Amino acid sequence: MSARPRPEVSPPGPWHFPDAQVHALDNGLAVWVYDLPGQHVVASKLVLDLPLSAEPHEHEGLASITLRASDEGTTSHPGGEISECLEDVGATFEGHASWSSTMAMLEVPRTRLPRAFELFAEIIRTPEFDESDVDRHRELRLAEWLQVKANASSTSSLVLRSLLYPATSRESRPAAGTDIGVIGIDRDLVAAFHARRWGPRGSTLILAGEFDHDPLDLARQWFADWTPDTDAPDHQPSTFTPGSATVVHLVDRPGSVQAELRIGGRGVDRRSLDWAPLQVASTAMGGMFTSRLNRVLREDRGYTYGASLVASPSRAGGSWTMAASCRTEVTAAACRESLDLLAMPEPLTSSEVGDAVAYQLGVAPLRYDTAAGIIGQAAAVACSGMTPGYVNDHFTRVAAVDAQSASEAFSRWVTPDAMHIVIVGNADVLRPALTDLGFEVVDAGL
Amino acid sequence: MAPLLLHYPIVERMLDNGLRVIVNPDPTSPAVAVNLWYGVGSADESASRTGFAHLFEHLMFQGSANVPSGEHLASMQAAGGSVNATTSFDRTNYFEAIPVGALDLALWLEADRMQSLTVDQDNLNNQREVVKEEKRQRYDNVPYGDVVQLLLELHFPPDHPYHHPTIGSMAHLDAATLDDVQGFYGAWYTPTDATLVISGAVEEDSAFTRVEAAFGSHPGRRPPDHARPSPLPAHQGVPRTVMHRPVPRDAIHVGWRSPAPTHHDHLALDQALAVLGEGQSARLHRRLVRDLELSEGIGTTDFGLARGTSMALISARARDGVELGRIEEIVLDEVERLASEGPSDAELDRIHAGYERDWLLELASVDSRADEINNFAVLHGDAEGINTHLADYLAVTPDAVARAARDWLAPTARAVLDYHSGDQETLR
Repeated sequence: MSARPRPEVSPPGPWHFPDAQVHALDNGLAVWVYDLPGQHVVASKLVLDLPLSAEPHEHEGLASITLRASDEGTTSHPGGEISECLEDVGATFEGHASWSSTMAMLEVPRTRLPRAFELFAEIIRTPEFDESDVDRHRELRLAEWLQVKANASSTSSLVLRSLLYPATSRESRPAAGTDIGVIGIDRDLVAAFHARRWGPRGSTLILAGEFDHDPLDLARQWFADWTPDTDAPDHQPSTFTPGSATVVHLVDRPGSVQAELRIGGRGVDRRSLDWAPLQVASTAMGGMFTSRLNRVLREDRGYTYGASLVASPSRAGGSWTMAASCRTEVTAAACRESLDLLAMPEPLTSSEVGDAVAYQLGVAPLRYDTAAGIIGQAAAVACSGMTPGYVNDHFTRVAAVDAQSASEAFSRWVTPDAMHIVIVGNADVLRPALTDLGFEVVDAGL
Repeated sequence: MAPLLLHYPIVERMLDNGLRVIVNPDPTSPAVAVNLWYGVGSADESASRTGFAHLFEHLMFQGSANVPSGEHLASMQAAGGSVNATTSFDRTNYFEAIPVGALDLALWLEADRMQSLTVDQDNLNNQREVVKEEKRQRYDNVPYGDVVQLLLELHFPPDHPYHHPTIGSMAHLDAATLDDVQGFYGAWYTPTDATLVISGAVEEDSAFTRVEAAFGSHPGRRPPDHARPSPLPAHQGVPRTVMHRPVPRDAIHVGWRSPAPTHHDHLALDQALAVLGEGQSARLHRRLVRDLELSEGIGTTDFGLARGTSMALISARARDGVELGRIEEIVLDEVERLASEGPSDAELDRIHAGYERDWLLELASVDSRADEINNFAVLHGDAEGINTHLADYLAVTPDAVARAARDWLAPTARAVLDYHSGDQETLR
């Protein structure tokens, strides 16, 4: 067959993450505005300066329950009226409590922003916290915890977390808490946590979209007089437990037709000079279809539907996680082969690293093509305590990563003595297979 | 408040070989989306060869005459693009979102695998294993993972094309030979049964020129007739499946046979389901989750199946110790109340406002917009539908919603899946 010659790819034109207009209100609230013509659904996110270490140890999960109960009613619109008001204007309110921040987000068609933003501020500032709502969210979290434990994938990730961070660290346990801490949470604890911990100081309000109304005026109108007497947060750097590439922490899940494999270790945060090269190296190793892990474990061996490696920066510290789901019979072999690949016997090539850089830079324009996409990245920067200019600085550093810097960063952080191995599956089959391959098998669980 | 009604330019042409091409130029987009629908879905599979449409979604990345295995994904990602494909009951789609400088390459890659597929025994064997891992990961190894299959079996008779899920039977895949695979490809992968949408930063004329250069020389070929079953009658006698599985909580799915998305009642029925189950102020959320605290969560949906009969569902997970029958009673009570009284104006306004937001979000990015354009072009027959859809949705009245609930959600026409926590065997 005579084929038309394969077309060349012309390099993409310059692209920049949009610039934010940065303001600060007198009460300490930072306001970042992204003016995005053509984005008809406007998003606003409040990034509270509130690490989970602020939760009382005996009530872990309090930050999540506080957020989840906040939009059930307000002092002006109690008993569920607030959700009707929000839905009247086509708005959604959602959020989550993460390690260094509780975040709440509003999305609404731009024509209805003023009313929706007023309701958003009402939820943030004057939630009702009716006893029945808090009690219900406590029970729902207890039920959710059962579902988490019944799921092999979430179990494996949480067991890895418990190994990676020492028990003294809040990061070693689930963000939304377990039954132990959640069971005693009540209305008074939630109201007090909100009163002492939700405030403007150190927090960032981000707005993005096409605006018919001055977003800064809206921020001032509804948040300038927000001056609660709150406690200053205590951000603690992540701490880590040393690991071993010869020990497998095995969670028995009888009857499983597949096993969940996780290998993880200590990584870096956005301030580290190693962040850009480690991110690129992780992409080359497990972030693209042709990455080494996926090529070998999926395309060569057929062991898995997909294998990945992701480096995740936190506010001060970071981690990396390799993940794959494999049928039980091949899991031990897949684990061995993953470790061999992570040991990187051959450094990353210029071609692998060049593709990973091009991929990281090339997908950015579309990833950040919506107000919600922009706000997600901006919020990640804000909750690391950094400024909006970071995003473009990071892209510049990514563009400069080469095979040598990527390989070196990878070798510095993905080391045998830093890694923890977790497998969740049918232990009767997995245990002898792992032992045969020389692994020490330790029982684990949630 | 007046909704935002946007208008996206749509230009459509057909190549001589029958490839339908639709261009939505958008100079404001930072990228361009290529979205190719083939008309073959799992509904077109024979009952002894299920899972083929989805297996093909994998094999299409395994190489063609001028493209080695894996090279399609590799070269698109290296050009800064994202690539994927999905298989549904009614179609298989392949899509790329790329910087405009990679558009010609994306079209060339799609054109090459439309005309030639070079599957050998090794990559057939390999992708069969990958598909089995996908099935284990997404269905077999997760709590409640068999719910969709049970619902399909409950709502569609064994000889109906929607009786089996898209993932299909692993035994059928094991039995597949290279000849079967080449036969399926030869039958269904033809420009005459495909629709290509390009949305984004490329001008109309340029887009058509590029498409003609890539696909114009492919010969056209008529595909086999698609399975077009007649609409099924409503359920009678309340068929019920009772399952026991090792899951943390009981769940119930109350379902009905519903009209296809092209049916004039579809939008009103969709809104009836939304009044019952969409958002925190929805009737069933209010009553089951918030007021009576019988349920951990509820949801309503319609599968949007295109060939004559779809499936509408009201689903709820029970709080600990709550009988499913109690939840079912309240679901039916609310359905009947909606059918007799209809929604209030305020309730329907709320549904409309929320839908406007979701629809604007769906069209905001070229990748999801291109897929919607294909959806309207292929399943509704008119790509311009993306420009009129929101107005059609907002024109639905409370009376129409009540009528749709009456006509399509009659309690006597329901089928029920009771999914119990526990290890007992199936009871019928």
